[in-house]
Amino acid sequence: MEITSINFQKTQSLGRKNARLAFLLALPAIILIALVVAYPIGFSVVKSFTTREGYSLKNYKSILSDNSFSFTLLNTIKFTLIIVIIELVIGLIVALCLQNIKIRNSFRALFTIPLLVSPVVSSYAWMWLLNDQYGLISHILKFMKITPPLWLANPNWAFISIVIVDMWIATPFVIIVFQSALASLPKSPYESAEIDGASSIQKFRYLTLPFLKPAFLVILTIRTMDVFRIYDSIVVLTGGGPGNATMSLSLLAFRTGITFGNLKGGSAMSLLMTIPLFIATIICIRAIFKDEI
Amino acid sequence: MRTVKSKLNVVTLVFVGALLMVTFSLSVSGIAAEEQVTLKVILPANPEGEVIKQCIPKFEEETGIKVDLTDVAVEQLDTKITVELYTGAKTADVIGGPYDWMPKYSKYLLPLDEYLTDQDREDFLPAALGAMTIDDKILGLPFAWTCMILFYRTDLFEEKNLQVPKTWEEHLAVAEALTQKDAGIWGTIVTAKNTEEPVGMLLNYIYQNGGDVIDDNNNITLNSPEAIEALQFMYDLVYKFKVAPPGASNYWCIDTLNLFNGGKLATAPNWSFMYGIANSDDTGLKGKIGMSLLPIKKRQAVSLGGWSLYAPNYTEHPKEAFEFIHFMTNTWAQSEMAIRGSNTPSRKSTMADYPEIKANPLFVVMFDALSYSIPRTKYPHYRELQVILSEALSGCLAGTITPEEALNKAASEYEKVINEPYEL
Amino acid sequence: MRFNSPKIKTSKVITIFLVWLIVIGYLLFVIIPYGWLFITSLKESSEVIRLPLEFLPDKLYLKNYFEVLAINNLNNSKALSINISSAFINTLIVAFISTFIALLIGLPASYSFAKYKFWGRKSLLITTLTTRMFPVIALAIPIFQIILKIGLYDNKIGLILVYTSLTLPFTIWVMYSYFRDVPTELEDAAKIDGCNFFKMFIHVILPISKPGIIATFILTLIYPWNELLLNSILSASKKSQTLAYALVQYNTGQQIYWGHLSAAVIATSLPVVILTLLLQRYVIQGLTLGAVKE
Repeated sequence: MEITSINFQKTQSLGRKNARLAFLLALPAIILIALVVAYPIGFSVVKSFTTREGYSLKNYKSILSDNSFSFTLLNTIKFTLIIVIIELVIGLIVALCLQNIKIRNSFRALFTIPLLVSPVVSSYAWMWLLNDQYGLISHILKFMKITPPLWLANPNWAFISIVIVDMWIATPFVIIVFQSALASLPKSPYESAEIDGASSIQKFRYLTLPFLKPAFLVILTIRTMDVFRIYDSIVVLTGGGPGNATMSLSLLAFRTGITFGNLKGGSAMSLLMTIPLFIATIICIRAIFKDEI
Repeated sequence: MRTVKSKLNVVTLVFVGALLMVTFSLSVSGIAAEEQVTLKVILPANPEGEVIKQCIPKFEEETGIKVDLTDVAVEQLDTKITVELYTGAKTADVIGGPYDWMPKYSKYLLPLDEYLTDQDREDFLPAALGAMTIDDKILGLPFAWTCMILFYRTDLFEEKNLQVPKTWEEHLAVAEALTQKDAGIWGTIVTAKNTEEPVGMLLNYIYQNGGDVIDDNNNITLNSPEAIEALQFMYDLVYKFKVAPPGASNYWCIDTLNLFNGGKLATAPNWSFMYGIANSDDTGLKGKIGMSLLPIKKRQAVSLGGWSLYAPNYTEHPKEAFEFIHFMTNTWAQSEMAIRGSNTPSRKSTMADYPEIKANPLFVVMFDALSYSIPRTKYPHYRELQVILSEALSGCLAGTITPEEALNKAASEYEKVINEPYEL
Repeated sequence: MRFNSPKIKTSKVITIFLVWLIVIGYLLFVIIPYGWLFITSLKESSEVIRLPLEFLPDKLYLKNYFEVLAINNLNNSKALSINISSAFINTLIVAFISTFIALLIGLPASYSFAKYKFWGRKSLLITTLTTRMFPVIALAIPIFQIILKIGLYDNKIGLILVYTSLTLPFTIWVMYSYFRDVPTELEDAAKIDGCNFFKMFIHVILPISKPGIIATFILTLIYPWNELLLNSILSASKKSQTLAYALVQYNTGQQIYWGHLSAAVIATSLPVVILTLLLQRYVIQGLTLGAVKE
């Protein structure tokens, strides 16, 4: 059964060469971003190379020679992979399920609740919920005759708790993006596929998934960038502990820059964070989404 | 010709007159502006800061200095102060913060020695003022100082006819006697969350076993046998003797407060602020709370905590800044702090002038305890030390590393920090 | 064709059951913490820490709400005098205006990136994206210095400026994916009808992209709504302090005022949720109108 996706190619083609108009349209945005964000980035970059004696790589060397940096980098990558994949999968599943329900918009309103509460405040609420003495979760588990784990005191469970909390906070984002993409699916390819006798799985694989590719791109990039910089929930829930089980690069950069007052080192660490992220994003875009960009 | 000349004269006269008036009014308003100074103050949003806030109207009335207040949440305070001092932004003339942050900022703080009278120096308790002295300069004045003491339930003790524990062994015995697993009551609590505050408890145990962070020869003794023993004891309280709740590596003083107020702790080492909150009608523990010095093994010593007011050295109103700092730590303000905020005064005159403060059972114990306090400002790079220790403490209490490994690692990390310092 | 084989029926029933199970399961996951916050807001402070845990409050204790929403409760020694009402108003103003401006500037920019070829298009797009790769703390200090220099410290306009610039890359990137799915034939058709660019954009492209725009609006709105670090650095008084910053003050390092914190969170988010629920009738209209394509 050949289901052509020619329809989709068309919608994504770039036919125009109206360069000047295009540039003008984008100009205000570019100017604003350049003014307010480019200078801080440049400042940070310059600062990271500054030492008392002049410009050198000293800050970078001292960070990279520290054991804690490599461990934290690995930990952060672990967080990013696990959280992003879980959120993508669950978000997609929930969004697909919502498509088949008629009162989906009231549900959507309820699902946006985590978005309305600041991540810091949500983290406080979860810290309380996961407390082994006071926590509602532990209480419910005890009620069901399951011994609750020490959510935040045990290193492995602390890691899992951070994943759960971030899932609570951020999956609505994934759901909203997917849901809006699904809401604008054109009807006719599906109708013709139905006539051709395609099964739901085939429809999903050859029609829905390709159409969701742009949404995938957005979610994957944004969530990866955001989770890689995870900070608020860790600080509130575990402080990076127990030990260094839940340390993240943002936390390390904050510690170096603000807590210790080594702002140059903090800038260097921020740059060290950004570079792998940048490379990963470029590779991801080039490899998977090259026709989307 | 004449009319033109006279017109010119008139114009000149008017012009000069206007110029004079403008200059005059500018200079007058300049003088007026000089009289009306506005101080920008950063305060933490906690009960101590709240008391200062409530003292501000009186300050404004008495000195004519206006105060623009910025309330900063405790967890954002570090960021706010660091950004302000590092960029020299002049958005603050007075800052209230933990006193153990002063060494980190010492490069940017205004020395207050020249403004302090000898009478003042005498009035402050030496331990309090000593904690404010960094590199032989007094960089701030204390508006709240505190240390950990042992709180216990007098009713539970009476039931089992127990004496107040003075040593670790006695404390362990009492805790074992009072732990009731099924009722969910624990004998004591160990806090080891990976954050600033629980380091105080670790330092206390190390001190009480005769250890210290650095010795008199500036050698690092974090991994001395005494320190390792102390950390081992903390670990054993939770896992071996099972007299402290198992979530230790995520507890901090707030959990101690909640569990004690909920009636789930028979004894609780905690900071002095707990008394005011616990000893009230809605916790049901009024009158059932006893306080004593922490039980020791080899020596009596506690880590000093507290808050102080300091000023950036680039402030445009150093005299007024000092006036504010001085006012908020004077005899009256300290009495307010004591009465409203349960904070032990650090001035002898406050204790003398307000007998009710002297007689308050909390302060009776606190004055005693504070005489054994060891300030944190004596350790170089205390912020780094705090982070190193909290990681070691929480890792050990979670069971990931042994006390020996934890403190060895901490010692080598601290050594690295001291040998390769960076500037603020 | 009238052959209703039982096999097909049960598989359909199972699917529907599974779908509802997943949705309800996720709904529970979302609602439980929020519901717990709601219940805690109705409890006195001593009830909150009572063990063993009691789910329902003793009585309907509304005092937390009164204390939180009152402007000046210096008389109450338990809760601090945190000004939630002014913080909430500041947040509404800053969040909505930032979002409007971000959409105003971002939608044309995004469309341009999505539909037109011009020199540096790809690099510019990726560069705007990299601004989101930096941890905020690295950008916070220089942004602070800029805002101080232009005299917008402790000013809502300064906050709007910063938030708009920081969410623009996000807005552009998210709308980019929606605009990519808009067929170019529409533009061609409009051109034939004699529309200039702006007419076409406003009357043809925007209505088609309604679902995307609404989604982007919501997602852009939440950034200034929830942002904490920059607000704490760029504001000094209740003139410009936003909600997240005010809420975090309930952790005093000695106690966390759970009753008041919950009341404040519920008071500032529940109305929005209820409003969305009520308005969703209009949202449906917008979504279905926009979804009809062909």
